[in-house]
Amino acid sequence: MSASSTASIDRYEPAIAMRHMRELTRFLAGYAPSTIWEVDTAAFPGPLQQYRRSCRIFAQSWLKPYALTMDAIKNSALRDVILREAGKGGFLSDMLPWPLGAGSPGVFLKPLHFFSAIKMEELCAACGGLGLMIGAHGLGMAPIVLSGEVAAWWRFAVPMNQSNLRGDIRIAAYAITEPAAGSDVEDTDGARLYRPKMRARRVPGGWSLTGRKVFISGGDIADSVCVFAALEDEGMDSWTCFLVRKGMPGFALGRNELKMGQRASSASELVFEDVVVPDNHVIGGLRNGWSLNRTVLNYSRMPVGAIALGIARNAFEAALEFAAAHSLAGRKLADYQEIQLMLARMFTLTSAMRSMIWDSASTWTARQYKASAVKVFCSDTAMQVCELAMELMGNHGLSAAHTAEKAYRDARLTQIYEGTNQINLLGIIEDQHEEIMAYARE
Amino acid sequence: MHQNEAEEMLTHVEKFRMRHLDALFAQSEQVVSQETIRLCVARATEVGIAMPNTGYKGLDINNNAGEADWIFYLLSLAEIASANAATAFELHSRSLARLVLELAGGAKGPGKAASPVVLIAGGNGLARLSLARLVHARLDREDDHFLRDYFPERGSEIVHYYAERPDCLIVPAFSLPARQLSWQIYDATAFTETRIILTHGLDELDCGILSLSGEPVQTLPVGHEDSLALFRHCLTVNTLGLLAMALGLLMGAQRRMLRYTAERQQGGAPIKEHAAIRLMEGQVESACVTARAALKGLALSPQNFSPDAAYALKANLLPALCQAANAALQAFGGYGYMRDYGMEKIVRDLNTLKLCFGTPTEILLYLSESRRIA
Repeated sequence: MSASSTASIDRYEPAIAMRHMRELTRFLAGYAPSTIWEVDTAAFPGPLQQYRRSCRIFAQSWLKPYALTMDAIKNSALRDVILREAGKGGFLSDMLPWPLGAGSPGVFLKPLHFFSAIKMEELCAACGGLGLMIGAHGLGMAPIVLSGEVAAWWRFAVPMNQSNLRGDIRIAAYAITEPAAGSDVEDTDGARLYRPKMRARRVPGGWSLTGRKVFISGGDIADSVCVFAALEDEGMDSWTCFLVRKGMPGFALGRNELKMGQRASSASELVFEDVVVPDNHVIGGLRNGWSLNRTVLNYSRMPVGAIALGIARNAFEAALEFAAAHSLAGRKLADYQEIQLMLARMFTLTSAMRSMIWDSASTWTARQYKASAVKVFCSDTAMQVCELAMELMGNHGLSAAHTAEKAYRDARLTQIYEGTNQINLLGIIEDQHEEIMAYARE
Repeated sequence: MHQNEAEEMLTHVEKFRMRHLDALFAQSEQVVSQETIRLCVARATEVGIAMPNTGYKGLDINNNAGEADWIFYLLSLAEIASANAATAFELHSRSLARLVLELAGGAKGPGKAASPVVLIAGGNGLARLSLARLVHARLDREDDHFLRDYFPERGSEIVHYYAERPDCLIVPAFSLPARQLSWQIYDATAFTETRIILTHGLDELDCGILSLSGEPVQTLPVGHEDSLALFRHCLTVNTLGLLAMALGLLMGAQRRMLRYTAERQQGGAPIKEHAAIRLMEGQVESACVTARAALKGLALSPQNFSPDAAYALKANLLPALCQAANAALQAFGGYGYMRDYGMEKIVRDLNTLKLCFGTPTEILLYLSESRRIA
């Protein structure tokens, strides 16, 4: 094929053909010379653009280079360095805006969970495990922020934020799951019949906590844990959130689980044996734990969707890189139609996830049906993307060195935590029960 | 072997699995050593599990296989894989190498080595060799680029899993000017090995990139047509073995799931009462029954063995088996994600079987072309 005919064929490709058009036409047609990521970002208002860019820069500089290492081995020194950088960058104190924290000044433009979603996509596009390690701190802070108690913000959240911004890291964790009872505390029907094992007994000036919690993300590095317990001789409806600090007598770390993926972030067992906490460590009021838990989960499930999106994007980018770098029978893989079909499918799926997240997270209140739908759709779709990426690479896809393998393992957890997808599906119906019943009555 | 005999022998294999393997592999937290895998392979051989090769006359391999022999072999492989897929993989891999040597009229020197491995297909997915697809379709076409990619030659890199580093490789080779297929043997000095440290599944086995760096020490004494028939037979048998292992992995997942869902209580009743769990159990049962029936169906007519049939099954069954294994993992909730319960490993092992020796996409392309040419 001659050079001239190649050029004429190239002119049919939209991005290349548009280069010959006037600037205004290019703008109207959406073909300004830019990456898709830049185009998406440019559509945001200024503060949000800045936030998305800062998340990406941090993730690409501090998480991506260490992703495979932190997946393979426990390296607490490296972990601490990454956490310190995250703290100084404001990523561990962005649940509240200035002057209470380092949240974006654009906090009045979009809801809190929108910002969380932006952050988690960028972090997890670099590493699902390290992204979770940083994101789990936000989950630990959520009960304090969402309790609506300004006094609790000043007492607990603000000092932690200030400390983190200085690089003196203080992590929070969220502890609801009890041994062999994960779904019981994520679902109304389960909770109605569940007898919590973690108990809070009244003692002078406070409460004594006894019990165990498992699968606590970041539990081993947490300085403060928001732990839920039932009051003595009462049922699940007495569930209350208590803030327990590391070093309190009777509070100990149990085993760290060996996980399939997201290994840079630990899943720890926490043991409480007559841990006495003062009255002012009750978060959100006595017997309000169940409602507070539901509120936190509604806020955290959309960011879980964003974690899945980030991981899927990571797999997609790895596949793209692979297809551009490898050849078969003298042609780049990316030139084969079957490969293009797979890549296009991955792009379509990740775009659909992002659209759903950004649309759902734009509403100011996080309702259960929306949060759960986002979480289920995105986690299931992320698995499809990762499977496609691995398949595109063939045997290379089985090697950890090519990232897609790790992305697959990381993505699998998003179908499980914050309530299994089955629990979340039932949650959608539960939240829409009255409307459904109204249809039935008609 | 008659059908009844095969059934009876299968019960022995099941007992062997329960007595010797289940306890050994119950501690999913620890990766079992390669020494243990080798021991298990040796014991499985003692129980009588061997790839059928009786009744063959030279390379007249299409008419003499006994269906009961194949049913016994494949379902035994599944039974072993239900306890540990690496053991079944190693057993199958070794059996295939022995079969090639026997069918090709025996080998001298390095071919008699203790642990030969057949590299019927190399290893690098769409990028390189993964599936030696199109071989019988493309051999006679002017498509040298593809042939170079699909057949290992000097400098080629092939990914392979093994418990014991092979001491010789048996490799199909294609001579381009002559357009002739032959089988060549490389001894240990003629290839180098680079270990891949971390792979997705089959943790117990080493995964190595084997590079052919020297010359073959021997060419098996068979002509082009017989070499081609042997190659087709290898592709078929290898794929059927992978399917059997995949079925076994899901059987293992099913056993664990049924035990867990009966024990785990929620709201005062075992979770097996929940429709969500019953749907998962149904999905697993459906996949198991389908895979078993398909495998038996093919084993019952060994005269119709063909790579196309085996690959078609692989393309359809492996994704379904992987999905079913994922459903089984999901029934465990958070525990399914932890190494202790063994479910996550089953999912990883199954994914590995799905992708190695031909991904579903590669197989669909292969089947399309194969059909069109036929």
